[in-house]
Amino acid sequence: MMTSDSGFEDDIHTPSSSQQRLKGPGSRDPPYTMTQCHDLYSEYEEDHFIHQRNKQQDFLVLNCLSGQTQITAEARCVLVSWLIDLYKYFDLTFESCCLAVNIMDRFLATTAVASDCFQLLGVTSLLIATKYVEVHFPGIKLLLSFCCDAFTREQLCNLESLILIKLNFRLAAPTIAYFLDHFVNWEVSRIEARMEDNIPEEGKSWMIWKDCEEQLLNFERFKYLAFKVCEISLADYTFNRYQPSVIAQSALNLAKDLLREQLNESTIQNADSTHTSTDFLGDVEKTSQSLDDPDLIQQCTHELGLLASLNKELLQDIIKL
Amino acid sequence: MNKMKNFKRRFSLSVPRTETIEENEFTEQINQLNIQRNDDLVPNSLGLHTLHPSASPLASEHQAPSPTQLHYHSKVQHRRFSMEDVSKKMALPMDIRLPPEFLKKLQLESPESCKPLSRMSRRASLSDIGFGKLETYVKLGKLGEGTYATVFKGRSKLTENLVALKEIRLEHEEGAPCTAIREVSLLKNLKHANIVTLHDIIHTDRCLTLVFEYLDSDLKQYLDNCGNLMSMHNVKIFMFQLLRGLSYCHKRKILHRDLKPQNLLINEKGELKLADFGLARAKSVPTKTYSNEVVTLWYRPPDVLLGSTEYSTPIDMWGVGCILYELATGRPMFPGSTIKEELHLIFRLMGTPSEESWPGITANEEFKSYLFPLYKAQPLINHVPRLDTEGIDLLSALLLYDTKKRISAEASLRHAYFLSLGENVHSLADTSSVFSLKEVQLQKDPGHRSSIFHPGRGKNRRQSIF
Repeated sequence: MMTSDSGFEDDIHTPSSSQQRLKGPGSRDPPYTMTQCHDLYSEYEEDHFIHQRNKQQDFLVLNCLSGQTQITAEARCVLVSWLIDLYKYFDLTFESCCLAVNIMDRFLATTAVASDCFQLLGVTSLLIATKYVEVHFPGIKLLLSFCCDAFTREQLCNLESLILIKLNFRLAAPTIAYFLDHFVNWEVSRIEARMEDNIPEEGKSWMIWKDCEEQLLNFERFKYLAFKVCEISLADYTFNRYQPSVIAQSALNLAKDLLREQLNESTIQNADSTHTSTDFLGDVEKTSQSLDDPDLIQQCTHELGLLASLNKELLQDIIKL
Repeated sequence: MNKMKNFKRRFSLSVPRTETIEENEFTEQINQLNIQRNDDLVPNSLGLHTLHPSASPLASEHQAPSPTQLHYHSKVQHRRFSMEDVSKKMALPMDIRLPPEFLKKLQLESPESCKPLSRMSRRASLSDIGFGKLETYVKLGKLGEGTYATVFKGRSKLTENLVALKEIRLEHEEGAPCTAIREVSLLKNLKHANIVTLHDIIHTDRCLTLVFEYLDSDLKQYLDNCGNLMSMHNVKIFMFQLLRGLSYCHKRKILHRDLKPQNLLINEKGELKLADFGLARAKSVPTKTYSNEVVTLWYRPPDVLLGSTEYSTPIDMWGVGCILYELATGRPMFPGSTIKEELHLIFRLMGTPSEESWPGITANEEFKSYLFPLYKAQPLINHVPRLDTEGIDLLSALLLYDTKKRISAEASLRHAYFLSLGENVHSLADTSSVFSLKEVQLQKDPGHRSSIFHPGRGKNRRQSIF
């Protein structure tokens, strides 16, 4: 049947409600939220990763506070902590949060900011980041209300323009959020590939499949812990000198160490069941070593460890989950 | 909403409303901080001395943590967990009104206080010769108007070259339009022979002007000019250029999301360049979904039409298939005006999707609700008789329902359809045009009205680009 493009009306109004629809196997809910990641580790992933890794040096600002007279590392910590609360409140992605901090730091490196404008800078950086990253971004009025309406819309818009010009519209900064996602997706796709190879059939052992399943369950916690460590590191000026990929890898290393400690403890208590689930933890190390300077990662991991111990209360719940 | 109030209150409750006290308190704190910083570090119970980098081999390369930073470490804990402390600190600046000359002050201060940033200083020297200045460009006439931008044809006084000036109004309720922010920051990273070049950005009081290279035609217009009968050899060259540009974007995880012949600009040499990245966005957060209104209906893939919000690179590839069809036949492939009509046109030609051609489709509520008749897929060759076997094969691979099986831009470039272009097209530098190779040349289009290919008459058609 060959018809012209306009001849479709003839059959569109003949809905065949009586027709037997094919019955699908029903909605097969993926067992874990991360199952989608397998597909996401697509053919472009590696190219993109290399590109992002090479690019991060251009967006790294060392000592962004050195030119500041009124903004201290402490003030930055307070502001970033507040921004972290803010991005969570608005249910934004971690990507936006990382980008906001990067935008703020890069602006601080170009311009001396008075302490009474610092919060405005923070909230404006967040707005720019969300405009770049998110589908929906919070309104200016709402953002200003979170600053107790200390600033006007005009001031924010002016600063927005100023930031964009000073940064020369360079906003595509690789973030910790990206690298964390990348490393985790890569790992998950490996476990899932193993699962696919060992789909339990009749007469076949469930052992490997179940192992993988458990690994994935543990992985959620592992990922969340690493994410939390990254989040805390944003507020700490010490980590400003590390590239995002280094922080992400170090956070994963640290999370691995912390979880392994915990798992070992519980293994001593009840000697079965957990022994397999740490298997995957070794792999992250293998990945990371081939990428960045291992000494640098070791140093960063060590410093993240200190930071984590300072913020023990925050992480303890996740570790013991 | 209650939650929000609490959240705000945390910061506002402790804000005393007298400025003078605030300032005094603040200066005091600053002073204290400075004193602390100058004092010798008192070792604390947290064992922070281990942070001393003496053991680290990298201490000399990377700035060793100063005592201040160490001290700061110990502070982190308090800051992080005492919300009272946080709110007090945050509250300090908030009550002090921003001085009206704040922005001026900022700009004035920057030259002295900022470190010599190479980018900034280079920028300054470029502006000396006219970059970044509006007076460098002469407006010649309006090319089109969109929701957030007006486009003018212009000429650069510096180079005498024609340019397209895209004026973006910044006076919006919500500040700079996100489309503008995305387009500029994305284009700054894209340097490719098949992507339109952003020459300059000019910022004036109320307006942002993007200066693009000027291309006088687009693929839609080109097709019109040759009476919808394009040489099949030229179709191949245009398709290759489109895929080259797209592959470059996709490798950077940048989706175009609005591919259509009007967005593919063409110059007098026949070079094709992707334009209008207003809807594009670096794909970075995989779980995040996008709004549904993205691609012009005719080039929109069925998964998006059926409400999928999981966008990745295959959404651009469907559009590439539609464009290939349009170039080869001279008419749009699925010119639907509503979503239902668009889907219907697709299914009638490509077959109503089944669990086999599109895993999961039979569970799609949206799809089920339409109750489409069960069409069988028609042989594409009947509809695109001018396309050779390899071309048909590529077209089929581009128009697969299953996004995982749909061919990628990278793989398409290596498709047998392009074999006749030779091997050298694959080793071109990103910024080299395919026409830099002797073996790649446009032919005379059979349906062309006048001589080979003449530019011009771009005014009316350009409106659709923006």
